[in-house]
Formats: sequence, structure tokens, C-alpha cells
Amino acid sequence: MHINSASLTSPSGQRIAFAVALVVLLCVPLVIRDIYWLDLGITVLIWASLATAWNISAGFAGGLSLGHAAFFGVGAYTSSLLFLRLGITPWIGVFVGALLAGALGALLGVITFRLKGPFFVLATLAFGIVVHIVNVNWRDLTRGAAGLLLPFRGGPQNMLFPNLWAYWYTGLGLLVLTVGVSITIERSRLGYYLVALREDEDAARSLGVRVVRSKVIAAALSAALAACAGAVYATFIQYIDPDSTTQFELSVQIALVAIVGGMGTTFGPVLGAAIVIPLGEILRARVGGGPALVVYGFLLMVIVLAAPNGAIAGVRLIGRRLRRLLDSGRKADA
Amino acid sequence: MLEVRSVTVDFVGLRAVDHASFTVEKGQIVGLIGPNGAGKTTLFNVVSGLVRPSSGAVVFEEKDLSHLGPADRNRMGIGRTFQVVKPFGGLTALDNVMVGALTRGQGLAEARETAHATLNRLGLGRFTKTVAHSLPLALRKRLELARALATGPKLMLLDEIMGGLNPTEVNETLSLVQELNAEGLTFLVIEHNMNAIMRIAEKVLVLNQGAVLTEGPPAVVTRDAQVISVYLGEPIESA
Repeated sequence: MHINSASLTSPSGQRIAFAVALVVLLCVPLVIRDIYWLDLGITVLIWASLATAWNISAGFAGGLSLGHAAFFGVGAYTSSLLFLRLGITPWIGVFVGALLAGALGALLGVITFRLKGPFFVLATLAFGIVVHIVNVNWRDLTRGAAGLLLPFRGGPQNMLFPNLWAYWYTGLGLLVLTVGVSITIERSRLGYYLVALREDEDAARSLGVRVVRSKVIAAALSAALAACAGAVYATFIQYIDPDSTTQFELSVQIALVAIVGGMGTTFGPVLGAAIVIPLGEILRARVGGGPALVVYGFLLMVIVLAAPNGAIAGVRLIGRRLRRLLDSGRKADA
Repeated sequence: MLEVRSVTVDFVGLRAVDHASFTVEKGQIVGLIGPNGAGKTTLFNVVSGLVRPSSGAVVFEEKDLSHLGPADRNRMGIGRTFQVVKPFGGLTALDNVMVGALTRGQGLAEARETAHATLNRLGLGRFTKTVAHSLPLALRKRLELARALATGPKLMLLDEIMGGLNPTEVNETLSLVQELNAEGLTFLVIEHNMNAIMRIAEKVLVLNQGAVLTEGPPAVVTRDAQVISVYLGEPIESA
């Protein structure tokens, strides 16, 4: 009898793995009742979405951005301000924020598409810092360092829930959206163009790939999705200030999560969030203070050294070994 | 089909191309030869749009290309390969060629078919799933050609695709060029392999220090005293 071995890398194997993962994630709130772990889980979902959004412009198109907190912040502030000032529900605000951030991302893309390597990184870094400074100083709009408190008004129709499990499902919806967009891009014409531009821009252009159009679309989608994550984060924490939304450290953390997991791959950033966020949180709770940060930094270095192409490469390797083991076992049976 | 009108390219302190003018007629195979540093590759970069000339113009099918970038020029029908190969290293050979097929407007499924057909035609059928940077140089050179062919060009610029190939591979490449030419593709070919040029080109341009020194049928050009002194070397005194 011929047994069709579905692999993790084959499309059918991927679909099965994807379906299993989704079912497991849907069941999480039924199994995990502990508020602490569920809270951490929601944070992981938001970070996984944010890193996936970053990966669309940085991983696929190769422009390593250190300014993505700006888009996260635009999303968080747009939906929160629309809610506070005009009473517009964050369910609508999240899309307004995404449009605004997308336009901003496109603008940044038009300005920076010519820049290469460190110059591109510096331009995005400067952009992030400018947005942070505006955020801190434009007190009439953002209330500056005082931040914005989202009053618990209205409940679910305003994306504000009395139960953590509802936030879990909101976060999961966000993750499905970002990963869905990411997969769609990877398998589309645009995905081919972006990777071609990343690998060799002159060769890609000589084959008819339009640089500006491709890079600007990627930058806009990436920024819009990061803004969605920002809006969900704001309703989850119900308090935002410049330090928690637009600060430079946040931009670094976004890049870090994606790089640890494996940039340029669809599921790398998701895996990165599942490793980095709990690691930081558990160390803060168990070790605390300065020592926690030292251990955190040390462990991240170990991970990056052990899996320079990201943790996802390690998982794929294990998957391949396992499959070979199963195949040889089958042959021995026959 | 292609008209290069008095093109000059100045880099800082160096004139790489100096008022070069020539034409390529539809259906021709034209050779471009000259010593290292003569400006051959720079001239290719001007025609394909990667380098803007300081003065002069490139006209393709009666249209002035001055304001078009490389992507638009490719879409008009100019394909090229690079002397120093530029594969999309992390992608498979198939994906490399698909990029070329996609830009001419084909959908994913159709582009995949085009890519398969092109790779098969160039004898790369066994390597469709091989990651480009792990291919040996001779095959990476052929992959360059496959990728450019997949864009469906009318004029193909080949930059030393015979370099580093063994005699059998050179013969295969030459017959492929002639076959494609018979199907209507026009070629402009930079080549150091004089034997190869003599066999396929109907016209040869000799470039020296950025200027067109002479042009004509290969048999005439190779007997030209100037060409011998700047490029081919002094004839050995016959005993």
C-alpha cells in the first residue's frame, strides 16, 4: 500500500498544519482559565501580528525598518481619539487608523525607496523618532506624556470586553488577518517582485519589475496592518501613552521579534513572538529588574547564534528529520 | 530597430562612452567587441536604462527612450543579461524565470508554464527546483538568459554569456542564439570569444576608449589594421 506522506513543507501539509494550529488557538480560552497566562497569550497574538506586518516590508522587500512603532502608534491613537472625541467605535476606528498609517507608509516608501542598507534603516529610524516627538509634544491632540485613558463604555460594540477571552478572539482575528495578507502577498505577483527586488534590484528592474510601485504598495500594507495591531492593543490595555506606542525601543522590539523567528518567512515572525514575548515577561516576573534584562539579552544572543536564519529554520529542520525518521520506519515495516 | 545617437557617458573624471553612434536592424545579430574598459558594458547599461547618458539618445522602434527606466524599457521589448551574473540567489531557478514571465502580464499559472518551457528549452529542466546560488557558473549564465527570454523581448542584449564556458557549451549557446534569431529575435552581443562572434554576427562594432572605432562584417573588421593594433594584437611575423 502506498502511503502519501504529507510533509510540513508541501502545500497540503502546510494546510493541515495551519488548520490544526487554528483549532488549537481557538480552544485556548476554553482550556486556559488563568488570567495571567491568557493575558500573556493576547500580548503574544498582538506582537505576532505586529511582527508579521513589519515582515511584509522588511522581510519580503528587504527594507529593514526601525520606525514601525510610528504606524503602531498612529493606529492606537487614531482609533482611541475617534472613540474619545467623536464616539466612533474602534471597530471603525481601526480601519481609519489603517488608512491613515497606510498613507503615511506609502509616503515614507516614496521618500525612501532609493535608499539602500544602512541609509534606509537610518531614514526609517529618523521617521519613527519624528512621529514620537510629535506625539509627545502635540498635547492638544494626544495629551502628550499624560496619555489617553479609554473609559469602559458600551462594551463589545466598542471593542471593549469584560472578559479576557473576547480579547483573545479579537487578537486571533487580527493575527489571521495579518498572516492572511502576508500569505496572499507571498504567493502573488507582488510577492515575486518584492523578493526579486530584495535579491538584486538591477536585475529585477531589467526584467521589467517596477521598483517604486512594488515597494510603496508593500510599505503601505505593512504600515496599515501595524496600525490595526495598534488599535487592538489600545482597546486591550485601555491606556496608551507615547512610551507604550511610538517609542524607539518598541520599533527595535518589533524587528527583534521577527528576526528571532525568521524574517522573510510567513510564520517566522509569529514563532518569534511566541518565543520572545513570554521569555521577556517570565524573566521580568521571576528574576526582575536589571538581572532580568541581562539574562533576556543573553538568551536572545544565544537564540540568534544558534539559529541565524531564525527559529523557523530550526523547526523546519526538525520537521525534515522527523519525516525522514518516519519514512525509514515505514520502509523497515514493509 | 535600435538607434544609439551620439551617446556620451561621463563618470567622475572619466569618459566611459564618447559620442558612440550605431544602429541595429531588426533580425540582425550584431557583435560588440573591444578591449577591457572600452565602455561596452556601460553602453549596455545606457541602452537598458540603468545608466543615464550625459548626452545623446537611445531610440528603440522609433521611440526615444530617454525618459524611461529599465522596467519600462524591458516592457517595450529590450531584454538583457549581466556580465557579472545577478541571479535571485535565494530563489529556485523556476521562480527566477517566473519573475520575467510575470512582468509581461502573465498570471501565476501561465507564468509557471512559460518558466518551465523556457528552462526546458535551455536544458535547465532538471534544475527547476534548485536554488539559484547553488548552480555552477555556466548554468547561472544560462539562467540569466532564460529569465530575460521569459520577458518576451524583441531585442536581446547578451553581455559575455560565453565567458567561462567549455567548447561544447559555447557551441550549444551559439546554436541557441541562431535558433532564436531565426524565430525573429534581434541580438546585440558583447563577446571576447572572437571565434564565436565570427560565426554568428553579421555586423561587428569595435569600441575603443568609449568611441566606435569601426564597424562592418566580421571578416572585414578582423583584418582592419586599427582593430588589430588596439584589440586583437599585432600579427605574428610570418617566417
